[in-house]
Amino acid sequence: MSKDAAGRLPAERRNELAPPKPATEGPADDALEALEAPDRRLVAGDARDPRPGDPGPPLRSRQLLALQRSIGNRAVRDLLANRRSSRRAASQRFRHADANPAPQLAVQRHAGPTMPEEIEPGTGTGTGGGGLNYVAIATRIRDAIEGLGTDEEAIYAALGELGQDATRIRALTTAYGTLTGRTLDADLADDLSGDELERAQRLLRPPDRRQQIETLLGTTDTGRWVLRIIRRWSIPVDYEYSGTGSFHRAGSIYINRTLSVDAAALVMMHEAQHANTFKSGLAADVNALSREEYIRRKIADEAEAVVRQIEGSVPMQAAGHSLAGSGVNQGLIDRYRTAFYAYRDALEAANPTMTRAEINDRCRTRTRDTEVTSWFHDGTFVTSTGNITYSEHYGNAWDEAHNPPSPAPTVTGEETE
Amino acid sequence: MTVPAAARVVDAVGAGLGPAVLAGTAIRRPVPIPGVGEGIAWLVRDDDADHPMQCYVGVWPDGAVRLLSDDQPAFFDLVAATGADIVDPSTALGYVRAFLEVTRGPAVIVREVRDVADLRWRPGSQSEEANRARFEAGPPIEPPVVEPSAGGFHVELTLVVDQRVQRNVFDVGRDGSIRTGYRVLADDLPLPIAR
Repeated sequence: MSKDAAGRLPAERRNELAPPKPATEGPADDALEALEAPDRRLVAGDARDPRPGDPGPPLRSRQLLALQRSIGNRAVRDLLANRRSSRRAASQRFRHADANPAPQLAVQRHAGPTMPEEIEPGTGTGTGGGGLNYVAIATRIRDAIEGLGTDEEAIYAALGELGQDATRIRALTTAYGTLTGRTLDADLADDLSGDELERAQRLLRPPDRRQQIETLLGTTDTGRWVLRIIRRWSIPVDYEYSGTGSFHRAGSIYINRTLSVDAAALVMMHEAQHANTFKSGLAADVNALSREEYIRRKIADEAEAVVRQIEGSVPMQAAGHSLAGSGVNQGLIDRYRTAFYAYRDALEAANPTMTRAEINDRCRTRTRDTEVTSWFHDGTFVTSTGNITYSEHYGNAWDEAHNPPSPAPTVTGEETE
Repeated sequence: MTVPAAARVVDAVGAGLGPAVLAGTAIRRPVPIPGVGEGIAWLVRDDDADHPMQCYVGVWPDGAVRLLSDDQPAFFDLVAATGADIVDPSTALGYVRAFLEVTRGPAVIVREVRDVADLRWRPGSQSEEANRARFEAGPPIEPPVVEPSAGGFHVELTLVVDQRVQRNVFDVGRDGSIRTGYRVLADDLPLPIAR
């Protein structure tokens, strides 16, 4: 079923799922019929067909409103709690009210929206599954909004229970509309602003690409390091970059929109290393360093970035994620492991009292500075433009910086805007 | 031939190559596409970045500039807008080669090979080296094929695509349309990785 950008159903479909409007006259019939259902739940917009064993059509909030108007809240609460005496009483009162409208007015408690805290039978509402009580959640949000001063944390906590699940979000917004007569989106926009509103609105949307990537990053040590780096330096990240490639440039990270979420997370592990180096003021300066030192430092940063990717890729793979498109493959992981374990075995044999943490730390450094660094010299990694090694590429860059070529050839016949 | 305006190229290539285009340090070079008009595809390349980058852009008859790299539908849209006339096998072969190059992913190595000796190896893991040994001991790489077929031409090429070798087939229409398929001959080989 198609939905709009906000995940809403088309208007005609929304109408199709909306609760039926109560008849101006005779709401009692609807209400009474609803009372005969074996289980009563306050679910607006539940369009399921009754099945064998199904509790039957839910009690519509408008029907409850009609019933309240007829017999009062306490009686409705009793009825929803399956108290037979009250049910009988309700039927009697209802019939009485039906016959004589005057007493109906005498027991009317609310002319406005229903008060589900009074009629809530304590069952889940079913529409969104997961056993959530949407009316209770909607009530908490309403109270947080309508109370003295907005309780933002209560709103976040309530919305957080939805887990950004589209079905649950629909169920809550429907329940909220039924409860208040207003839309949840509008109430939030009226009461919150800026980051607070954005946070609440995000909880009411299925996860976007950024969230998916950052959630995945949060599942590994390396990924959490990435998130700390992004926060620490306030690094802008474009997760939907539509140009060429994915890269770090001058403190910003660009992640190509064609990358899968898995690949994007792994590329983030690489680019965050470069961003951290740049922000720390440790980036190699082509003008200040010797040719050899410039190449060494550029490749050292690259090697660390690759190690971070490999370290992050192992737990991701174990969790069933793919390496495709990330720049890291199984062959590289195997080569890293082979070098790491060989040095570990040697280190353990020579230093039986060394702690495992120290051994791992030394092996990581050594593997990075020998095996992984060699990949930038031996043709394992080549540039995508000229198929040359990175030691050649950085050497060329140093040469050009210190022996500038003649100005770039003039482009002739350029179209003007 | 009209060179596409830098501003339009920058819009197409984004933040990666854009600054070099504006600074005039990026290479912008027309790329011939046999059977199609000249000056409709351009290489944009910056060799000075930490990771050198390049991509191809297309120039539509109305002046619009769009990325072609990693976007085969954009290539066919450009060809349809410009018009193509693939008249003989040689043109068909050149057209396919140009199609492969300008639409490859920017960091994906795509290279035609005719013999195992054309492959450039890197040190591999134990498993990758075993794959290499099996591949080298297998049947030789078949030569390219290009021949007339109903409605156009049939082309077959053997390609290196990142760490695999594959045989690709192309049925090229005289109007530039292409129907494609491929068969992987060997995967997880110790071939260079573009970064």
